[in-house]
Amino acid sequence: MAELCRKNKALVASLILFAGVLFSHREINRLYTLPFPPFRELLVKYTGMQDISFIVFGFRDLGADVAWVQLLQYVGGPSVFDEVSKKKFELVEYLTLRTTRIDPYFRQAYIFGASILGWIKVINRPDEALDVLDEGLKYNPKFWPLHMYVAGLGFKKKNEMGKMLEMLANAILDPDCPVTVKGIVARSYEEQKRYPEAIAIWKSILADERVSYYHAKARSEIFKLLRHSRMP
Amino acid sequence: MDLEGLFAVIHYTLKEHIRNRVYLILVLFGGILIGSALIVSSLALDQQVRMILDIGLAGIEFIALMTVIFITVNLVLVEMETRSIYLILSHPIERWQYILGRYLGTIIALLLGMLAMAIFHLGTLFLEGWAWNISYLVSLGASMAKIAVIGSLALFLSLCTTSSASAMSFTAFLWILGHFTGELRFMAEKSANPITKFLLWVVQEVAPNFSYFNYRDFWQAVQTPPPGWFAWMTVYTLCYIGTALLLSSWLFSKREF
Repeated sequence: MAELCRKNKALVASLILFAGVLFSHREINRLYTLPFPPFRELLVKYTGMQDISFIVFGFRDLGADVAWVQLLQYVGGPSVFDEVSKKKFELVEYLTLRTTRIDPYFRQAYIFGASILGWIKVINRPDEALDVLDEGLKYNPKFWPLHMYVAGLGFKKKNEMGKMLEMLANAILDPDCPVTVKGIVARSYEEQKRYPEAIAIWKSILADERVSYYHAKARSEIFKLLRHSRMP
Repeated sequence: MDLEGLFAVIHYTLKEHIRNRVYLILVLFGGILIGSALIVSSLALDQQVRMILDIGLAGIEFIALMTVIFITVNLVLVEMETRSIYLILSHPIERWQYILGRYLGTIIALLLGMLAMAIFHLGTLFLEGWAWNISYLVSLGASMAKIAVIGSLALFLSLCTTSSASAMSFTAFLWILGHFTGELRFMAEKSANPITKFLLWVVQEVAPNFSYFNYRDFWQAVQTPPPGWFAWMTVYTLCYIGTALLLSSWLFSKREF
């Protein structure tokens, strides 16, 4: 036996190190559990193969980014306000949750999806918006804007528009708030004929260099609102 | 112990890789990939910076993975096929020194390549107004550790199998399996058949758990790993690499030249 061990020193040493692998693996699992939903919770009806491929190849974040781009393409990007067909937006909740189940810490996706569902007039599905926000809060309980949106939806359902706008105005103060959501809040102010507040939001969009693709729209909205505000 | 032979092998391996066209083309391709993120990310509207960050980190790892598989699998096999190994082993050098030197030379070359791509990536990010976050360095370090583990496994598999094609396929299989171990654990827990349960349990314990190296995926989570976890990850990485290299060395010592 001793002779065998001497001849196969490398093999014996590798077995000892492998015991180290097993022990450290156990400790790693004990100290921290990966904070992701299991595969069975992924939404795989339309794009399962694509999403699972990204995850098993080790590129989860990139998979969520691709899902996000697909959500934006579905919604229509900055032109969402111009859409009139209700049918086109049936998949918003599905596509939002699909994105966030790949990466549950993609906070802007929850806000974007919920805002489209809750505050775009032709869609108006606040219950679905609340589902999205609830899931967001499950994974990001300390992310304050999500709480604001939930409260805003609560006021909307009770038809307390003033309180709803107050909540949303605070929520969009988050520097990473999606620009589309800011646009939605500005529209809500406009509907309430609170033009100065609406203009202030569009001006803040105009001042944000990161969203230069939205500047043309912001400018035209400001001109339109200035015209309205001067009307008797 | 005379380590002169080991350093000589590391030196010539490093020089060989840096002069290798495949290595240079892959690093260049990595640069192009990161640069192209600027164009692709414009599709993500106000999540442009996030997308550049993700494409860059994923791109660096993907290019390193491709390079490590192609280079490491052929590292010893080519020298055995071309018989140049006779010349090397005729020098006063131990076989384990040859294996370790070849591995370390390759990994150093790869890590240098990853570092070059990361510098380019950081430049791109700063250009887009990204705010510095130390998690970037942790993510990059974890990615490098992952590449070092898969490199050691690729070397071991190249000595176990008869052709480079099969070694590459097995390495790619291990890469995928390594990102699937969490699900295997779940399946093992749920399985009613004791044999299936046992087999799944063994596989998920033995296969490298690469998901843990993807720090870039969970640094934004509410609960991030405690410092002790990183220490155990270091132990895990070193033990895994050590096991694969010792087994490679053992297999290599059994070969007759």
